[in-house]
Amino acid sequence: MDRIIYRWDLDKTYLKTEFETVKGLVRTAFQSAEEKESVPGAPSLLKELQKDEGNSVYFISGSPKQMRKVLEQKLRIDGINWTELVLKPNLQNLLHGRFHALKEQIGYKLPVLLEDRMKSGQNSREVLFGDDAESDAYIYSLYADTIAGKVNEGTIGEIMDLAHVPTVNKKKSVHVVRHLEFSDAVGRIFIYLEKRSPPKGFDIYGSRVVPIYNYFQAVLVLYTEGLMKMTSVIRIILDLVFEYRTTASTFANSFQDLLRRGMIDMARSAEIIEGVRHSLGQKIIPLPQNFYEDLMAKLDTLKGIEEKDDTGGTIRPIDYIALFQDQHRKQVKQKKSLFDKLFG
Amino acid sequence: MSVFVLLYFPFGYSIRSAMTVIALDVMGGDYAPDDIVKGAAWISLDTTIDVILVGDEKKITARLKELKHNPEHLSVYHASQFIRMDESPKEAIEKKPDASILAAARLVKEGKAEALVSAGNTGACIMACAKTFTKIPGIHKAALASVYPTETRRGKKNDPFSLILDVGATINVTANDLVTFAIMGSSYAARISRNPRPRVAILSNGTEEMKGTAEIVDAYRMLKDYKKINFVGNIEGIDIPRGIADVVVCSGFTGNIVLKMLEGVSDTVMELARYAYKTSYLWKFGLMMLRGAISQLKDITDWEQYGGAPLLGFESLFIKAHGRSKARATANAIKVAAKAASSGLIKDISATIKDFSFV
Repeated sequence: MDRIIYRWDLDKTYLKTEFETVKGLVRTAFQSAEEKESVPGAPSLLKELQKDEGNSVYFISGSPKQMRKVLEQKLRIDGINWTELVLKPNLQNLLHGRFHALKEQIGYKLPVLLEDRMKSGQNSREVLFGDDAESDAYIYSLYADTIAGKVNEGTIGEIMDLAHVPTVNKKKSVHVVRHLEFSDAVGRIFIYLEKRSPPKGFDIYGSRVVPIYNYFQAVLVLYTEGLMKMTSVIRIILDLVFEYRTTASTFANSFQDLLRRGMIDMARSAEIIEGVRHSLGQKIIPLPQNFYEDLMAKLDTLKGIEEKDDTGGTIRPIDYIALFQDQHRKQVKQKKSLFDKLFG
Repeated sequence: MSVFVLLYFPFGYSIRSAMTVIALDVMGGDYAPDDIVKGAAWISLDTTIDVILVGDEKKITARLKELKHNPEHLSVYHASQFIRMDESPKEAIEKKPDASILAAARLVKEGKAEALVSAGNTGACIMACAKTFTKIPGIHKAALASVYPTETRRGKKNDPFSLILDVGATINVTANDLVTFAIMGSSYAARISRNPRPRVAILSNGTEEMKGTAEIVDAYRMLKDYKKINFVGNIEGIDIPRGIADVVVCSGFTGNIVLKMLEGVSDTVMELARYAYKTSYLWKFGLMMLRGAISQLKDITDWEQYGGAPLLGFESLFIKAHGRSKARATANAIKVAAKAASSGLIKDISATIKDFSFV
């Protein structure tokens, strides 16, 4: 197995964070490490991913640099090792009057990702984790296509102009793109649907982007991609059962959802079902009453699902400039409708 | 690890027990499958009810992809056929063994779901239940219920709706059937409207004991001394909208005519109001002045908030949603089904029927 870099967004992807209300924002800012909650399954998934030698974890967060101590402590409590944790220089942005940069994501995340790629060695494969709260699917796809040589520096510059990214960040990104060794390194981009956004909205990014409703779904896809062993799958299932009281039907329904959306294929799915049967069927670990029987009965019904065509990571060409403009129009419309609702 | 596990999950504890599973016929109804799927999507975000969406898997998945939903509470069961609203129920049930309504009923019968919900062809729904479900011992005929808004509020929920049964499942009834309808209706109203002693009445052509057909007279005699039911005697048609009774019992033939007439009257009143609005500026002004009250009345009589009504008499539960159900009505029908399923309704009906047969 090649060396793999797992890049994770922190807020809403790894940590349960509420930014939508002032109350939530204040609470997040003053929460101690012990009070911070991880998304169910995220810590155990990360720990399993780190078990293979050479794999590394990079975090990139929109939280301000002043939160480093608390965030690092939280990761330590969860038993996570990380190579780098990048936080947003929001105090600097504020002091320099860069108010737009406080909320803006492309001008912050893309240069960081590209620079990290240069620093962390360009031979590694990458798997990315983000969420549906901001523009993670867009930024990650743009990053993946840029390091694959499918997006040129001109396009990057144009997008950054459209996003009103400060010239210094734009120049940094363009410079890195010029010196990159191109390789199609990004396998999958997992988007955790924290807001429960309709998955159809992500179709435009092709099947490289996998919208997931929980980390069990990520585990299934990673197993089918050969990035996770069956023992890891079982350990994560057990963590979800014992730590979060995840039910047999939640597992089975999540599995079925992935199959129906064509995110995993039938042959590999059957392999997972057999793996689960073999590992949990021995009843060495005392599971909740009827859990195993319920789970197997429900998983067996999955065999009736019709095979979908678009499994296997087909990637369609994306017009990033048009997509940016389209998303910007939608955001303006949303803001306008919110304004109309409040004051109209 | 095992000590931890035993502390966390004491013997006999099952993490599945908290959830109710509902089989939803996604292909039935005027707005199926789009609005029916949307109703289930809402439920998946707001409750812990598990819904099995029964119907065309490709259409359901495509629709779900467009909606905010939580797939942890949803699963799809593919059915290759469905029964249209205008099809002959008998023929369709015979010719379409994999129709969504039949497949959903089978899931309930096999214990994979606790209740069935459909907004589809009423006749086909009744026939699918009759073909698949087992009758409760002591009950010879099933009764389809319906709800009707009345002047009176009832139970802890301040429910404006009274329950009328049967509204079409059984055309000819015996006195015994009317008695079982009364027991079933009373039990349902007690659980769903949280009205512990619902008033039960037989619909007749007069309030006196001797009024009505021979079956009605006999049923009156059988019910009047049975103390487990709050039997208030006979009522006339005029008493239904007044809310004199919480449960109105009648034959399917009578019930269907009554229901259609009540719906017809409501539609006519609305038409007259629309006519008045268009005809004279003075009337238009008058209606505008009454806007608040009309809106409140609309809220009170809003059938979508109730979602659906049950087909009673089987060991399995079926909630029939209105054929015109959109997402909100579908979601509420699912909630009613889950509530009925978890309330012990069938057990209570069985016990009361058994008890009554000894009286």
